[in-house]
Amino acid sequence: MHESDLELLRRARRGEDAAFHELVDRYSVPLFRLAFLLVGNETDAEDVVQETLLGSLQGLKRFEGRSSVKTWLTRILAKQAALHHRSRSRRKTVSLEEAGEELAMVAEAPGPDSGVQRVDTRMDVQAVLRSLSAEHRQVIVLREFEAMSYKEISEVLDIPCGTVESRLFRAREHLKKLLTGYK
Amino acid sequence: MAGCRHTGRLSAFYDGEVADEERRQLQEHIRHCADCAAEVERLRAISRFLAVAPEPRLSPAALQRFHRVVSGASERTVLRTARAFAMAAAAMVVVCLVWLWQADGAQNGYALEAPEWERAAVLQQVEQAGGLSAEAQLAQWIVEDLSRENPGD
Repeated sequence: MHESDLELLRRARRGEDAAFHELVDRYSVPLFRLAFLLVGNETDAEDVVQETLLGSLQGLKRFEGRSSVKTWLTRILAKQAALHHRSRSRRKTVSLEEAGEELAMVAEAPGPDSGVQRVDTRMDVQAVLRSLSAEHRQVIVLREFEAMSYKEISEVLDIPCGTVESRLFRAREHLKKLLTGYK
Repeated sequence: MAGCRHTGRLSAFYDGEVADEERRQLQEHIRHCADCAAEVERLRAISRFLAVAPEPRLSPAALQRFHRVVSGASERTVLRTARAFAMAAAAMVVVCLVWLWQADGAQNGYALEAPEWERAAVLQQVEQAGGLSAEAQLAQWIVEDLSRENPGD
């Protein structure tokens, strides 16, 4: 029988380790995907997910059930990704010109039948996401990839809904400039 | 910002995050405004572009590592809790021992620190009259009197 996330969390709080391991199985892949989009590479994404799972294990008793388990985990992950980003101090701000050059090179790559297209598309998206500030990247990823509502994003990032809206607006303005002419 | 004055609301409209009435008004407006229609199409293009990103793959080894790390953290939490209880119990034993030692010392020190007359009355020790204060002398007389078979005689 498929147990709800909340029931698994309650059991984990009572000390049932198997319940928390079930949550690890359930959420590792989606958390990894989200972490990858936020930090840009698989190795760092694995580290962020590991820290997220440890943080959630330690914070089990503080979970009050006001949000879903998914939102709660996403919130922890977003914070871990931001910490990871700051600790790395390798933030390269890719200028619009650099990102545009990278995109132009890819636009001239072989077509869909060549097998290269898939890799190039991933580089495209990563290049574009890297060109965004951390704040803009967070809201774009949570909206476009996780399909979260503004209210959910505001809970995850602990910012007002109005701020979510304005950051999304500005992030999209940036992306529009970057993608002008990219079909 | 060039273009229609409604352009600034289109991002929220596109996300379905405007109130029903505003949504109806904007939908009607977009039908007649080329700038806004183009803007909505640009927002769709952004979503289409982002949607084709391939999924990164979480390796089985990484998933196993997550489980190992979580198990290790759980065991450390149990050990930490047990250690905390043991230390609390040891601290309580020490406190009790110190309290008992102090209580015993206080009892022995009573005879040394109490006033002279009180010592005489409590210990019922009859000492040389010349060495006692007036209060101690009084206490001694009271003790001697109480010790007779017929006090007051």
